[in-house]
Amino acid sequence: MALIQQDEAWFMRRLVNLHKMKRPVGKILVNPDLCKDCRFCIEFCPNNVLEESKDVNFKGYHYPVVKPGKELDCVACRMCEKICPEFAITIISEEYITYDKYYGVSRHAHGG
Amino acid sequence: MSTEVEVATTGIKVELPKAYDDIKDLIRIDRLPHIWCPGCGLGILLKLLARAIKNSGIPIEKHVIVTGIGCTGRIGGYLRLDAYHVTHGRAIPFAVGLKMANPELEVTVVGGDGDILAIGGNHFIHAARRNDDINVIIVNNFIYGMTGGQYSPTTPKGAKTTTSPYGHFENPFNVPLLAYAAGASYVARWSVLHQNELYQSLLEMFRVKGFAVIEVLSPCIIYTDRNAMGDAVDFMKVIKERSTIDHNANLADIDIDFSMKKIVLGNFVKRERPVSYG
Repeated sequence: MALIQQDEAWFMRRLVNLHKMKRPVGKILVNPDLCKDCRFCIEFCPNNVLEESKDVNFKGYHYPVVKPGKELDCVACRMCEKICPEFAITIISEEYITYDKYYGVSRHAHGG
Repeated sequence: MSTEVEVATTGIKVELPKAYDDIKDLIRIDRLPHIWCPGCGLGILLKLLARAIKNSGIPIEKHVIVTGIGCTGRIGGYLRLDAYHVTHGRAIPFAVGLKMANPELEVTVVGGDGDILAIGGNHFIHAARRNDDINVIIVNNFIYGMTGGQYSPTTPKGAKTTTSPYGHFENPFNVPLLAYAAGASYVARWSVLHQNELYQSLLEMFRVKGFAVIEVLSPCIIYTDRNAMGDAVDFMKVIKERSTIDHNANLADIDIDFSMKKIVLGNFVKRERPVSYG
Protein backbone atom coordinates (compact mmCIF):
# COMPACT_ATOMS: atom_id res chain seq x y z
CA MET A 1 0.00 0.00 0.00
CA ALA A 2 2.78 2.39 -0.95
CA LEU A 3 0.32 4.67 -2.71
CA ILE A 4 -1.61 5.49 0.45
CA GLN A 5 1.54 6.32 2.41
CA GLN A 6 2.68 8.69 -0.30
CA ASP A 7 -0.72 10.21 -0.48
CA GLU A 8 -0.99 10.87 3.22
CA ALA A 9 2.32 12.69 3.52
CA TRP A 10 1.57 16.30 4.36
CA PHE A 11 3.92 17.78 1.77
CA MET A 12 2.38 15.90 -1.12
CA ARG A 13 0.09 17.83 -3.39
CA ARG A 14 -3.09 15.99 -4.17
CA LEU A 15 -5.34 16.47 -7.11
CA VAL A 16 -8.71 17.97 -6.24
CA ASN A 17 -10.49 15.51 -8.48
CA LEU A 18 -8.39 12.51 -7.50
CA HIS A 19 -11.47 10.49 -6.68
CA LYS A 20 -12.52 10.72 -10.31
CA MET A 21 -9.14 9.78 -11.81
CA LYS A 22 -8.79 6.43 -13.48
CA ARG A 23 -5.85 4.11 -13.70
CA PRO A 24 -5.52 0.76 -15.49
CA VAL A 25 -5.89 -2.49 -13.60
CA GLY A 26 -3.70 -5.28 -14.86
CA LYS A 27 -4.81 -8.86 -14.97
CA ILE A 28 -1.83 -11.19 -14.53
CA LEU A 29 -2.02 -14.42 -16.47
CA VAL A 30 0.65 -16.97 -15.60
CA ASN A 31 1.27 -20.13 -17.57
CA PRO A 32 2.33 -22.44 -14.71
CA ASP A 33 3.85 -25.12 -16.90
CA LEU A 34 6.45 -22.71 -18.28
CA CYS A 35 7.52 -21.27 -14.91
CA LYS A 36 10.84 -22.29 -13.34
CA ASP A 37 10.64 -20.36 -10.05
CA CYS A 38 13.43 -17.86 -10.72
CA ARG A 39 11.52 -15.25 -8.64
CA PHE A 40 12.39 -12.38 -10.97
CA CYS A 41 8.76 -11.32 -11.28
CA ILE A 42 8.17 -11.47 -7.54
CA GLU A 43 11.25 -9.44 -6.62
CA PHE A 44 11.04 -6.85 -9.38
CA CYS A 45 7.31 -6.05 -9.10
CA PRO A 46 7.14 -2.39 -7.97
CA ASN A 47 3.88 -2.93 -6.10
CA ASN A 48 4.67 -6.34 -4.58
CA VAL A 49 1.64 -7.94 -6.12
CA LEU A 50 3.02 -11.43 -6.66
CA GLU A 51 4.01 -14.24 -4.32
CA GLU A 52 4.97 -17.89 -4.63
CA SER A 53 2.19 -20.40 -4.90
CA LYS A 54 1.61 -23.21 -2.41
CA ASP A 55 1.25 -25.92 -5.04
CA VAL A 56 3.69 -26.83 -7.77
CA ASN A 57 3.59 -27.32 -11.51
CA PHE A 58 4.41 -30.56 -13.30
CA LYS A 59 8.14 -29.96 -12.96
CA GLY A 60 7.92 -29.25 -9.22
CA TYR A 61 8.41 -25.49 -9.31
CA HIS A 62 6.35 -22.96 -7.40
CA TYR A 63 4.83 -20.47 -9.82
CA PRO A 64 3.81 -16.88 -9.05
CA VAL A 65 0.27 -16.04 -8.00
CA VAL A 66 -1.39 -12.79 -7.02
CA LYS A 67 -1.22 -12.11 -3.28
CA PRO A 68 -4.60 -12.41 -1.60
CA GLY A 69 -6.10 -8.95 -1.17
CA LYS A 70 -3.92 -7.40 -3.86
CA GLU A 71 -6.07 -8.15 -6.85
CA LEU A 72 -6.55 -4.46 -7.66
CA ASP A 73 -2.96 -3.37 -6.98
CA CYS A 74 -1.49 -4.24 -10.37
CA VAL A 75 -1.11 -1.06 -12.42
CA ALA A 76 -0.14 -2.91 -15.62
CA CYS A 77 3.44 -1.63 -15.77
CA ARG A 78 4.39 -4.95 -17.45
CA MET A 79 7.67 -5.29 -15.54
CA CYS A 80 7.01 -8.96 -14.76
CA GLU A 81 6.15 -9.64 -18.37
CA LYS A 82 9.42 -8.09 -19.52
CA ILE A 83 11.63 -9.66 -16.88
CA CYS A 84 10.26 -13.19 -17.25
CA PRO A 85 12.85 -15.31 -19.10
CA GLU A 86 10.42 -18.18 -19.58
CA PHE A 87 7.68 -16.57 -21.70
CA ALA A 88 5.27 -17.44 -18.91
CA ILE A 89 3.59 -14.16 -17.91
CA THR A 90 1.25 -11.91 -19.81
CA ILE A 91 -0.59 -8.82 -18.62
CA ILE A 92 -4.00 -7.82 -19.86
CA SER A 93 -5.02 -4.25 -19.08
CA GLU A 94 -8.51 -3.69 -20.37
CA GLU A 95 -10.21 -2.42 -17.23
CA TYR A 96 -9.84 0.85 -15.39
CA ILE A 97 -10.46 1.72 -11.78
CA THR A 98 -11.07 5.07 -10.12
CA TYR A 99 -8.96 5.97 -7.10
CA ASP A 100 -12.16 6.47 -5.23
CA LYS A 101 -13.04 2.84 -5.67
CA TYR A 102 -9.53 1.67 -4.93
CA TYR A 103 -9.10 3.47 -1.62
CA GLY A 104 -12.69 3.22 -0.49
CA VAL A 105 -15.16 6.07 -0.84
CA SER A 106 -14.93 7.51 2.66
CA ARG A 107 -11.18 7.82 2.62
CA HIS A 108 -10.50 10.20 -0.22
CA ALA A 109 -13.86 11.51 -1.26
CA HIS A 110 -13.96 15.16 -2.34
CA GLY A 111 -10.26 15.74 -2.00
CA GLY A 112 -10.02 14.99 1.70
CA MET B 1 -4.03 -20.05 -35.88
CA SER B 2 -3.93 -21.49 -32.40
CA THR B 3 -0.69 -21.08 -30.56
CA GLU B 4 -1.21 -24.14 -28.41
CA VAL B 5 1.36 -26.78 -29.22
CA GLU B 6 2.11 -30.14 -27.67
CA VAL B 7 5.71 -30.54 -26.53
CA ALA B 8 7.19 -33.67 -27.99
CA THR B 9 9.41 -34.61 -25.05
CA THR B 10 7.04 -34.07 -22.14
CA GLY B 11 3.62 -34.33 -23.73
CA ILE B 12 2.27 -31.23 -21.99
CA LYS B 13 0.36 -28.63 -23.93
CA VAL B 14 2.03 -25.24 -24.00
CA GLU B 15 0.35 -22.06 -25.04
CA LEU B 16 2.41 -18.97 -25.72
CA PRO B 17 0.86 -16.04 -23.82
CA LYS B 18 -0.82 -13.26 -25.73
CA ALA B 19 1.98 -10.80 -25.03
CA TYR B 20 4.15 -12.71 -27.49
CA ASP B 21 1.71 -12.67 -30.39
CA ASP B 22 4.11 -10.53 -32.40
CA ILE B 23 6.93 -13.08 -32.24
CA LYS B 24 4.98 -16.32 -32.18
CA ASP B 25 6.07 -17.17 -35.72
CA LEU B 26 9.72 -16.75 -34.70
CA ILE B 27 9.75 -18.72 -31.43
CA ARG B 28 9.55 -22.50 -31.57
CA ILE B 29 6.78 -22.98 -29.05
CA ASP B 30 6.94 -26.75 -29.32
CA ARG B 31 10.35 -26.66 -27.61
CA LEU B 32 9.27 -24.57 -24.62
CA PRO B 33 9.89 -24.64 -21.66
CA HIS B 34 13.46 -24.03 -22.70
CA ILE B 35 16.49 -25.84 -21.37
CA TRP B 36 18.20 -23.02 -19.46
CA CYS B 37 18.42 -22.95 -15.67
CA PRO B 38 15.98 -21.02 -13.48
CA GLY B 39 17.32 -17.48 -13.30
CA CYS B 40 19.27 -17.57 -16.54
CA GLY B 41 19.10 -14.36 -18.52
CA LEU B 42 19.22 -16.04 -21.90
CA GLY B 43 15.44 -16.28 -22.16
CA ILE B 44 15.22 -12.49 -21.97
CA LEU B 45 17.86 -12.15 -24.67
CA LEU B 46 15.99 -14.66 -26.84
CA LYS B 47 12.83 -12.62 -26.49
CA LEU B 48 14.55 -9.32 -27.29
CA LEU B 49 16.49 -10.81 -30.20
CA ALA B 50 13.30 -12.19 -31.73
CA ARG B 51 11.61 -8.79 -31.35
CA ALA B 52 14.61 -6.99 -32.81
CA ILE B 53 14.75 -9.35 -35.79
CA LYS B 54 11.04 -8.87 -36.35
CA ASN B 55 11.24 -5.08 -36.23
CA SER B 56 14.62 -4.62 -37.93
CA GLY B 57 13.12 -3.86 -41.33
CA ILE B 58 15.16 -6.63 -42.93
CA PRO B 59 13.13 -9.61 -44.22
CA ILE B 60 13.25 -12.65 -41.98
CA GLU B 61 14.58 -14.77 -44.86
CA LYS B 62 17.71 -12.60 -44.92
CA HIS B 63 18.51 -13.13 -41.25
CA VAL B 64 20.91 -15.88 -40.23
CA ILE B 65 21.88 -16.84 -36.69
CA VAL B 66 25.15 -18.68 -36.16
CA THR B 67 25.85 -20.15 -32.75
CA GLY B 68 28.67 -22.13 -31.27
CA ILE B 69 28.80 -24.50 -28.34
CA GLY B 70 27.55 -23.68 -24.86
CA CYS B 71 24.36 -22.63 -23.18
CA THR B 72 24.14 -19.60 -25.44
CA GLY B 73 24.51 -21.81 -28.49
CA ARG B 74 21.03 -23.12 -27.80
CA ILE B 75 19.47 -19.79 -28.82
CA GLY B 76 19.48 -20.76 -32.48
CA GLY B 77 17.42 -23.83 -31.75
CA TYR B 78 14.55 -21.84 -30.30
CA LEU B 79 14.25 -19.47 -33.25
CA ARG B 80 12.36 -20.42 -36.39
CA LEU B 81 15.04 -18.96 -38.63
CA ASP B 82 18.02 -20.11 -40.64
CA ALA B 83 20.19 -20.97 -37.66
CA TYR B 84 23.48 -22.84 -37.76
CA HIS B 85 24.96 -24.64 -34.79
CA VAL B 86 28.63 -25.08 -35.57
CA THR B 87 31.76 -26.39 -33.89
CA HIS B 88 33.18 -24.93 -30.73
CA GLY B 89 34.59 -21.44 -31.20
CA ARG B 90 34.19 -21.42 -34.95
CA ALA B 91 30.95 -19.47 -35.18
CA ILE B 92 32.66 -16.27 -36.38
CA PRO B 93 34.62 -17.90 -39.28
CA PHE B 94 31.45 -19.69 -40.36
CA ALA B 95 29.55 -16.39 -40.28
CA VAL B 96 32.27 -14.61 -42.26
CA GLY B 97 32.11 -17.35 -44.88
CA LEU B 98 28.33 -16.98 -45.12
CA LYS B 99 28.67 -13.25 -45.53
CA MET B 100 31.31 -13.64 -48.24
CA ALA B 101 29.21 -16.11 -50.18
CA ASN B 102 26.02 -14.08 -49.96
CA PRO B 103 26.55 -10.44 -48.97
CA GLU B 104 22.81 -9.81 -48.81
CA LEU B 105 22.44 -11.83 -45.62
CA GLU B 106 22.33 -10.24 -42.18
CA VAL B 107 24.53 -12.62 -40.20
CA THR B 108 24.41 -12.59 -36.41
CA VAL B 109 26.69 -14.63 -34.17
CA VAL B 110 25.42 -15.40 -30.68
CA GLY B 111 27.89 -16.93 -28.29
CA GLY B 112 29.03 -17.04 -24.73
CA ASP B 113 32.26 -15.78 -23.25
CA GLY B 114 33.80 -19.23 -23.47
CA ASP B 115 32.83 -19.80 -27.07
CA ILE B 116 33.82 -16.44 -28.52
CA LEU B 117 36.58 -15.19 -26.24
CA ALA B 118 38.36 -18.37 -25.14
CA ILE B 119 38.51 -20.92 -27.94
CA GLY B 120 37.30 -18.44 -30.53
CA GLY B 121 39.30 -15.49 -29.29
CA ASN B 122 41.65 -15.45 -32.24
CA HIS B 123 38.78 -15.51 -34.70
CA PHE B 124 37.11 -12.72 -32.77
CA ILE B 125 40.01 -10.28 -32.85
CA HIS B 126 40.85 -11.02 -36.47
CA ALA B 127 37.26 -10.59 -37.63
CA ALA B 128 37.29 -7.28 -35.77
CA ARG B 129 40.61 -6.35 -37.39
CA ARG B 130 39.28 -7.08 -40.87
CA ASN B 131 36.00 -5.39 -39.88
CA ASP B 132 33.82 -8.01 -41.51
CA ASP B 133 30.19 -7.00 -41.78
CA ILE B 134 28.74 -9.35 -39.17
CA ASN B 135 27.12 -8.87 -35.77
CA VAL B 136 28.38 -10.55 -32.63
CA ILE B 137 26.45 -10.86 -29.37
CA ILE B 138 28.64 -12.01 -26.48
CA VAL B 139 26.65 -13.20 -23.49
CA ASN B 140 28.98 -12.73 -20.54
CA ASN B 141 28.12 -14.72 -17.44
CA PHE B 142 31.69 -14.76 -16.05
CA ILE B 143 32.00 -18.56 -15.96
CA TYR B 144 31.73 -21.77 -17.99
CA GLY B 145 28.28 -22.59 -16.72
CA MET B 146 27.36 -25.67 -18.75
CA THR B 147 30.47 -27.73 -18.04
CA GLY B 148 30.33 -27.34 -14.28
CA GLY B 149 31.78 -23.96 -13.39
CA GLN B 150 35.36 -23.65 -14.63
CA TYR B 151 36.90 -20.20 -14.93
CA SER B 152 36.54 -18.37 -18.21
CA PRO B 153 38.47 -15.48 -19.80
CA THR B 154 36.08 -13.01 -18.20
CA THR B 155 36.07 -14.46 -14.67
CA PRO B 156 37.11 -11.60 -12.36
CA LYS B 157 40.21 -11.83 -10.20
CA GLY B 158 39.37 -13.42 -6.86
CA ALA B 159 36.29 -15.34 -7.95
CA LYS B 160 36.00 -18.94 -6.81
CA THR B 161 35.26 -21.52 -9.48
CA THR B 162 35.69 -25.27 -9.80
CA THR B 163 39.15 -24.83 -11.28
CA SER B 164 40.12 -21.97 -8.97
CA PRO B 165 38.84 -23.04 -5.55
CA TYR B 166 41.07 -20.60 -3.65
CA GLY B 167 40.20 -17.61 -5.80
CA HIS B 168 41.04 -16.85 -9.39
CA PHE B 169 44.40 -15.10 -9.82
CA GLU B 170 44.35 -14.14 -13.49
CA ASN B 171 43.19 -10.87 -14.96
CA PRO B 172 39.99 -10.96 -17.03
CA PHE B 173 39.32 -9.56 -20.47
CA ASN B 174 37.84 -6.12 -20.77
CA VAL B 175 35.58 -6.98 -23.69
CA PRO B 176 34.64 -3.50 -24.98
CA LEU B 177 38.27 -2.37 -24.87
CA LEU B 178 39.39 -5.55 -26.64
CA ALA B 179 36.79 -5.12 -29.38
CA TYR B 180 37.59 -1.43 -29.79
CA ALA B 181 41.34 -1.99 -29.91
CA ALA B 182 40.94 -4.79 -32.43
CA GLY B 183 38.92 -2.50 -34.68
CA ALA B 184 35.19 -3.13 -34.26
CA SER B 185 32.82 -0.58 -35.76
CA TYR B 186 30.21 -0.74 -33.01
CA VAL B 187 30.77 -1.69 -29.37
CA ALA B 188 28.15 -1.69 -26.63
CA ARG B 189 27.63 -3.30 -23.28
CA TRP B 190 24.25 -3.87 -21.66
CA SER B 191 22.74 -6.28 -19.20
CA VAL B 192 19.59 -8.35 -19.55
CA LEU B 193 17.96 -6.03 -17.02
CA HIS B 194 18.33 -2.96 -19.27
CA GLN B 195 15.88 -4.26 -21.80
CA ASN B 196 14.81 -1.14 -23.65
CA GLU B 197 18.40 -0.04 -24.09
CA LEU B 198 19.51 -3.52 -25.16
CA TYR B 199 16.64 -3.69 -27.64
CA GLN B 200 17.60 -0.35 -29.19
CA SER B 201 21.21 -1.49 -29.26
CA LEU B 202 20.24 -4.68 -31.11
CA LEU B 203 18.32 -2.65 -33.69
CA GLU B 204 21.34 -0.37 -34.08
CA MET B 205 23.57 -3.40 -34.49
CA PHE B 206 21.57 -4.56 -37.52
CA ARG B 207 21.91 -1.12 -39.11
CA VAL B 208 25.67 -0.74 -38.57
CA LYS B 209 27.94 -1.52 -41.51
CA GLY B 210 30.92 -3.35 -40.07
CA PHE B 211 31.81 -5.51 -37.11
CA ALA B 212 29.28 -4.87 -34.35
CA VAL B 213 29.82 -6.24 -30.84
CA ILE B 214 27.36 -6.19 -27.95
CA GLU B 215 28.42 -7.60 -24.61
CA VAL B 216 25.38 -8.71 -22.62
CA LEU B 217 25.82 -9.27 -18.89
CA SER B 218 23.69 -12.16 -17.75
CA PRO B 219 23.20 -13.81 -14.35
CA CYS B 220 24.34 -17.41 -13.97
CA ILE B 221 23.40 -19.44 -10.93
CA ILE B 222 26.57 -21.51 -11.27
CA TYR B 223 28.67 -18.35 -10.83
CA THR B 224 26.61 -16.98 -7.96
CA ASP B 225 26.48 -20.33 -6.18
CA ARG B 226 30.25 -20.84 -6.25
CA ASN B 227 30.87 -17.35 -4.88
CA ALA B 228 28.15 -17.20 -2.22
CA MET B 229 26.46 -14.31 -4.00
CA GLY B 230 23.00 -15.69 -3.41
CA ASP B 231 20.65 -16.41 -6.25
CA ALA B 232 20.23 -15.02 -9.74
CA VAL B 233 17.79 -12.50 -8.30
CA ASP B 234 20.49 -11.09 -6.04
CA PHE B 235 22.83 -10.77 -9.00
CA MET B 236 20.16 -8.86 -10.90
CA LYS B 237 19.70 -6.58 -7.89
CA VAL B 238 23.44 -5.90 -7.84
CA ILE B 239 23.26 -4.95 -11.52
CA LYS B 240 20.25 -2.75 -10.83
CA GLU B 241 21.89 -0.91 -7.94
CA ARG B 242 25.46 -0.51 -9.13
CA SER B 243 25.24 -0.10 -12.87
CA THR B 244 25.79 3.32 -14.39
CA ILE B 245 25.20 4.32 -17.99
CA ASP B 246 28.00 6.32 -19.53
CA HIS B 247 28.22 6.37 -23.30
CA ASN B 248 31.48 8.34 -23.32
CA ALA B 249 33.29 6.28 -20.70
CA ASN B 250 37.01 5.70 -21.01
CA LEU B 251 37.12 2.09 -22.17
CA ALA B 252 40.27 1.35 -20.17
CA ASP B 253 38.42 2.00 -16.90
CA ILE B 254 35.39 -0.18 -17.35
CA ASP B 255 36.74 -3.48 -16.09
CA ILE B 256 34.28 -5.47 -14.01
CA ASP B 257 36.01 -6.65 -10.87
CA PHE B 258 34.87 -9.28 -8.42
CA SER B 259 33.27 -6.85 -5.97
CA MET B 260 31.16 -5.43 -8.85
CA LYS B 261 31.32 -1.98 -7.28
CA LYS B 262 31.18 -0.32 -10.66
CA ILE B 263 29.41 -1.65 -13.74
CA VAL B 264 29.55 0.79 -16.63
CA LEU B 265 27.08 0.20 -19.43
CA GLY B 266 26.49 2.08 -22.64
CA ASN B 267 26.90 2.34 -26.38
CA PHE B 268 30.59 3.06 -26.31
CA VAL B 269 31.86 3.07 -29.87
CA LYS B 270 30.29 3.80 -33.22
CA ARG B 271 32.65 4.63 -36.04
CA GLU B 272 33.09 4.05 -39.73
CA ARG B 273 35.93 1.90 -40.94
CA PRO B 274 36.41 0.22 -44.31
CA VAL B 275 34.77 -3.20 -44.44
CA SER B 276 36.72 -6.17 -45.77
CA TYR B 277 34.09 -8.74 -46.61
CA GLY B 278 30.41 -8.15 -47.13
